[in-house]
Amino acid sequence: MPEVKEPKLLHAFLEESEELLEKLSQALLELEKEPGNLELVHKIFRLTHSLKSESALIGFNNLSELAHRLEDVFERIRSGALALRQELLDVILSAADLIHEMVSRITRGEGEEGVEFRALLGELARLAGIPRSDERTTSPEPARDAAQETASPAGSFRLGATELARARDALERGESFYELAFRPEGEALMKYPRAYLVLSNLERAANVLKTAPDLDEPVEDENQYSQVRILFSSELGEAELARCFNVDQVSGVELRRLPGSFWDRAADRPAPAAEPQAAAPAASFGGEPEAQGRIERSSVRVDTRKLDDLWQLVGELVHCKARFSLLAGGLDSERRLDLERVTDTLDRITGQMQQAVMQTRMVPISVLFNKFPRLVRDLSRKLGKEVELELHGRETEIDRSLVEALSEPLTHLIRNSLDHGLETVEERLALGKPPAGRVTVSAQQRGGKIVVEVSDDGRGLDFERIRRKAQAAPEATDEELTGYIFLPGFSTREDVTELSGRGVGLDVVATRIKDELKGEVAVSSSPGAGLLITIILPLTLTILHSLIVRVRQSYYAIPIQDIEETLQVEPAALRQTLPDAPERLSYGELDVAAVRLAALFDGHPPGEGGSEAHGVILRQKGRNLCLLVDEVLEEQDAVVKPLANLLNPKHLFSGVSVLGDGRIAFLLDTARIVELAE
Amino acid sequence: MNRYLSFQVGEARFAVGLAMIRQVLRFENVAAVPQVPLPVEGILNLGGEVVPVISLRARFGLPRLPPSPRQRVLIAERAGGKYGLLVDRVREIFELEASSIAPPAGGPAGLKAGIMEGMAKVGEVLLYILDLPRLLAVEGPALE
Repeated sequence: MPEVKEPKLLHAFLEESEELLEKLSQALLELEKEPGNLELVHKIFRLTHSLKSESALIGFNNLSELAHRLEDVFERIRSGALALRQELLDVILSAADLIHEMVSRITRGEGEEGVEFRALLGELARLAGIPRSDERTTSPEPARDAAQETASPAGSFRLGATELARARDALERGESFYELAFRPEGEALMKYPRAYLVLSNLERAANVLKTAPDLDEPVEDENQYSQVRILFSSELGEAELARCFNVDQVSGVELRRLPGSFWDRAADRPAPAAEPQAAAPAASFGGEPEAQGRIERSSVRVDTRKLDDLWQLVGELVHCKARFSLLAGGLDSERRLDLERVTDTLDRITGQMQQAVMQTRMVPISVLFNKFPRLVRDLSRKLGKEVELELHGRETEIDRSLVEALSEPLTHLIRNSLDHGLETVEERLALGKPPAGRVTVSAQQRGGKIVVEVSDDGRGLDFERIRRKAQAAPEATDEELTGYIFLPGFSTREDVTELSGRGVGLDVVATRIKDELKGEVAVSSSPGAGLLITIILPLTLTILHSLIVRVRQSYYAIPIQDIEETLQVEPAALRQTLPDAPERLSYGELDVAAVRLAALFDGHPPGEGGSEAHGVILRQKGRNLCLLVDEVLEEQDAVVKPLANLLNPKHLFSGVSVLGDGRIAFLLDTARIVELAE
Repeated sequence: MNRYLSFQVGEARFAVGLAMIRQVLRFENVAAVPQVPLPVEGILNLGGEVVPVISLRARFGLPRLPPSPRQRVLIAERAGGKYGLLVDRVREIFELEASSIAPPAGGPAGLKAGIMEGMAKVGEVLLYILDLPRLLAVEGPALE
């Protein structure tokens, strides 16, 4: 197999396998709850099959072998030859984990070899009663084939129920059926690899239904590959197909489009879905998997960078439109009216377009939620607690860029709930609670925000202990005490970590959500009855609702969420308390540091060339700061563009944004500004 | 025959291969970047890409000009993305035989010969043909 994989192919493989693995984990967990669900068994069988073929194609043999063994197991479960017991399922899940690990290693460029999987294969074979590939002496296949295949005359192929179902799908897609026959050349040992190469090439362009001899089975006798036939369906014509399987060192290639009558004969017998066949358990996989299959096919994969480009371009269009509107303002009233009608339409279209493009960046939050059942399952076993996980709002759509950034904080919160929030079964029974603890994760879109909640029915926060540890005043309210667990360092102190069993790393979670995701976190605790953590996130990170301000000739955008208020500042209201410290400004009951943005950036002396008569009160990490600027302009949805590090040496900006008239505004990283001002 | 674009910075005339230049823009909407010193004049928005603009005057150690309508930004491209070069004015596009380019004997007003591809005389005018990658690679003012 090739040592160096073609990067494009590898990339496609990784993307594909990630999706397959995601589906596999989900299906396995569902299967654990419903071990009798044959539809799931069938689905898993197909997933392992795809995984096997994909990885064999690109030359990951260990991965392919592992997937192949799983496929074998599910084949046996499917045919009723094997019962699914918990013990077996545990090993299957471990095998899925190993596959995960192999793929992760491949992603990191470390190769699949470092993962030991032989022991597990043995265990799997033992539990499933399958002789291992290296132990196989005689083929167990004929017996199984005879029992399972329904002997439909598909040309000279015999199709099983699975293949028939796949063939029906293909027929519905309007594909044609072909038979490819060829003879691998060269010495006996090379025949199988050559045949397999043809199959691999073909699988990229066509839907392979059956091979004779079966190329997915281990090689037993090299001589059986002297003549190979492949039955497949494809939407491509003969000429295009010929290019697909073109390999050297095969001869006698014959490609035959099968007449429609071939299918009539084959399709009559196993009565598609409507008449379930008693003999074939596969017949119960009727309508639904097919329908599902079609939905999956209606989507395309797009590189996210292409979406980002499109998004940028739409941003440009919006700016261009704004300039157009400005121009219209300069015309005489009659023409202006006409033009305004056009710009109104343009306005509507660009608005819709922005929405539509934004939609393409959105993915259902289920891609994230799907990881949690496994997490909860494993963790609850480890902790010896009984836990029911509820997931709500899986269809809620969030920006692609948020998915990854949200994964770790949410995992952390769920871990916390299980580890510290929920009591043991005995404790719960003693408290009169149901033995199984409940963790609920929900997502919904509310207004322009995504609200994600993680709640449990465990202990909640122990306010008395927080009060003691934080040495808070006796009259401190629960709300104030809750605030302590978000303070950096509060929870990292050894003695405090133990306190309510909560607060472990909560400050880290909160900081991440605020700084990286521009979101908010709130905690609501009912002692003894549970904890609710609410995370509020913007819909997307690439548009930031901002206030535009001017300082001298430069424009800055400040995220609205960081602004408490804006106010007029009389020069006389500023007090210099210490020579080198920032001036102070009193407003309302507060006294805050007042920082001249111009001085912060360019060292301008106060007031030189600008009024600095406007104050923007920032709120960051529980502290307030007043930024002095020359002018406060409008609020705007700023489309954030990255700024190269070279142009952002002190990381004062989180990016730049182009204003309606084409001017550029620098987006302030308020956390950095507050830090710098101190 | 290769095509060149000639332009003026201070008193001297320069040229670059036309193939290097993607666009020529008016000197508008270039935002100064706080805390980033010259020769970075600022950034501009080019079809969604944020492009740094480098002042050739500053690069050549000349004082800043009051804004003039003749100033232009030449957009060129390198591996890391597009960049702009601010020049005093653009003169013309002309063709030149490779054989009529002489090796650089030294630049005008003490400019380093190393940032030059060569020199050529077009009519009565002496042109310094700039080596853009080298010009960007050299640190500090491009003076000897």
